[in-house]
Amino acid sequence: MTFVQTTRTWWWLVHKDLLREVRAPRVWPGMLLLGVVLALVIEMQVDLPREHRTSLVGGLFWLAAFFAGTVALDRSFAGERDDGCWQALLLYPVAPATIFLAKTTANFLALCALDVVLIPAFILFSDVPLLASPGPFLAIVLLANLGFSAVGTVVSALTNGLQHRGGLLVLLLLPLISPVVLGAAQATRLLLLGETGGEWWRWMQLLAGFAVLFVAMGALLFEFVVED
Amino acid sequence: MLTSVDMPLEARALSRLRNGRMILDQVDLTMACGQIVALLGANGCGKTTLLHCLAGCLRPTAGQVLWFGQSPQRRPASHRLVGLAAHEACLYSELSAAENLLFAARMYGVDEPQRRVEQLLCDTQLASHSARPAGRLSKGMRQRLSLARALVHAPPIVLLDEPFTGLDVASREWLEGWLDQQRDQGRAVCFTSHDEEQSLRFADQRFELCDGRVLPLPAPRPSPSSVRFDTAGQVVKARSA
Repeated sequence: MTFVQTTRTWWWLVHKDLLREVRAPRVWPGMLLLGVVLALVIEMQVDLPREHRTSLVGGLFWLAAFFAGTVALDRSFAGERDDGCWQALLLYPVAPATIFLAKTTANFLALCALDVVLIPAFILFSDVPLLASPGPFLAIVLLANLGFSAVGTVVSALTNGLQHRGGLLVLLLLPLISPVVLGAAQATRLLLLGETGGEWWRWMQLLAGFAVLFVAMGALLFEFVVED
Repeated sequence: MLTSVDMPLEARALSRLRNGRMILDQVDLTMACGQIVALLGANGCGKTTLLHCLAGCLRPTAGQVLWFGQSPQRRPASHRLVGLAAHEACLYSELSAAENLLFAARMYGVDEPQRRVEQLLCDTQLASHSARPAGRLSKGMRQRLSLARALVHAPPIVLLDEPFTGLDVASREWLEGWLDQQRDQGRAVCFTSHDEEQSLRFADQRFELCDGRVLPLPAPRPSPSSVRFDTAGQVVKARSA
């Protein structure tokens, strides 16, 4: 299969997932609602002076993003289980890596949509300007979402076929994404404190490293993950 | 004499173990072009498991499946040779009938997918329902749409899992005619059923799956066909009148 064919296939897989979500929203509303509720609850409990809030809000933001995002990842393959669609998907002459990349893209877009709701919510509730440096903050968001969606897609596919899977995704996912949560929280904290020097770059490199590692490993291992 | 390469589908000593139980035990099966094979057996005897192994979506514990003499394992491109209409419809309920077929056509890399979809919708008498979501179609319509999806890439090997289940008389008659049509076009068709009478009506070869083994049943009719496919699934010799 040529690169152009693979790219087309990838796009049609992503298009199909987005179209299904638009026609019958089943993942995004729950995820966005949970994100807003988490933001509200967290911020109502944190009664600190502004300088302390600034160093804390990054970590809280990412905790809310990752917990709410888990809803999207948990459901990302559930829709395929309906009516045997997953089996049909595996029978198409499509490389498993392409399916993985398409699912990761759909999950990545869901997490980005979550951030679009969470960022204003956190700014509103905490009064901390998360977007004071929009470029670097956007870089943190993109790298963290990429790493999270890649590893989440693999774990979601792994638990997809299991009958008693309740809670298993979270159990498997949380240890794996710890470096991403830690890196994103630390990079955001340093950014909000205006410390974008060497230490910030090291956290960014860690985030980028994990994002690349998770995407590459996912693409290579997905074939074995989806095997019966 | 036919070689493995001429044989669209061949199972050699196929075994499948699940939860310590031998579902399939050393199954040997061959199918020729332009032939309809009925796979009979009681519920839970392993018909679906065998069909899934033949379709390449279930890995056998031992033995191998060959499509035109080649193993499908780890070769996604070879999946173009097979169309599987599973017991479940494998349709996205939120997408329309046309969108479901268009998606499958794009996944198989069909040339001019839009035209192919229109043709299939006409063939399956679903043209007037093309814009309806698959989830809102009747059982018979979904069954026809599922068959169209399995055939969207015109595969030489067609596998159908209990295609007659839940269909009314009109839909059954349509399906029988459709199966005859697939045979005339030179496809190797295998379907599972537990209705022996039905299989007698149009199957060329019949097998019964019992205790994991495939036993041949008396053939109801000869299975003539001079249609041949090459290893890419293209017809190389047409059926003589």
